[in-house]
Amino acid sequence: MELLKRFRQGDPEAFEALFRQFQAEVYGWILRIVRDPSAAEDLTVETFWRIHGAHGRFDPGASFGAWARRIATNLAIDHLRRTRLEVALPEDLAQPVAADPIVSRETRQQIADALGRLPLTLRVAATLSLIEERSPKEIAEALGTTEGAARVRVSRAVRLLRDQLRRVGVTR
Amino acid sequence: MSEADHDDIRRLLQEALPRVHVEPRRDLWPAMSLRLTARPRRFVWYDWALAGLAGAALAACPDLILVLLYHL
Repeated sequence: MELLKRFRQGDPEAFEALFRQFQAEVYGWILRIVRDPSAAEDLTVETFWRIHGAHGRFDPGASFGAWARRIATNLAIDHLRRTRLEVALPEDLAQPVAADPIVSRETRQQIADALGRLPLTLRVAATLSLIEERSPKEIAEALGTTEGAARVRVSRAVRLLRDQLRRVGVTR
Repeated sequence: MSEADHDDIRRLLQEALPRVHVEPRRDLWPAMSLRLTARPRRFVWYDWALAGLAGAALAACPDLILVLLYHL
């Protein structure tokens, strides 16, 4: 709490301490959305740059992590909007794929493409909820919405994905 | 939409795009620190000198404006 108060007052050491404490979490959060380590690094620095600029508006009673994730999510969505990056994940980023994967490489690509075609807010909600298994509360905070709205976005994403995957023959 | 549909899509997504679980490849504080200490871009003396020179040339020969507009 003391650290957050000092940060709010503009103390550079408090900012550095918070950066060191939260950089891995913010980087991981952004990486989950953009799936590009190099972009995630740049966006992490940009996130903290924005945080630094907005220190006076931070409420020391609130969660710093949630605030950082919200800013990070907005920047990550802007980045996706600008770049329209492929969704496919380089193998070295992912958990090892099972030796006998249930879905083929081609199917994996079709699934990734279907996810990539979703509107960005639905895509982010689906990625965080269905792949990364983050809670509706966390997703809602990050997207600046309510838990109910976050659940609706995930449901809409699932419905669209199911229709698209049905169309290409991945599901029946 | 049934719960089974939801679980099916979840399973397919997790197969196609496994969860990300990595730490940053490097400490990002040096990049942050650089950003914090970077000074905003300022005009230096030769920017002002060039602007003054251009202004003086245009004041002395107003016809130059037409030449500049032609090239634009």
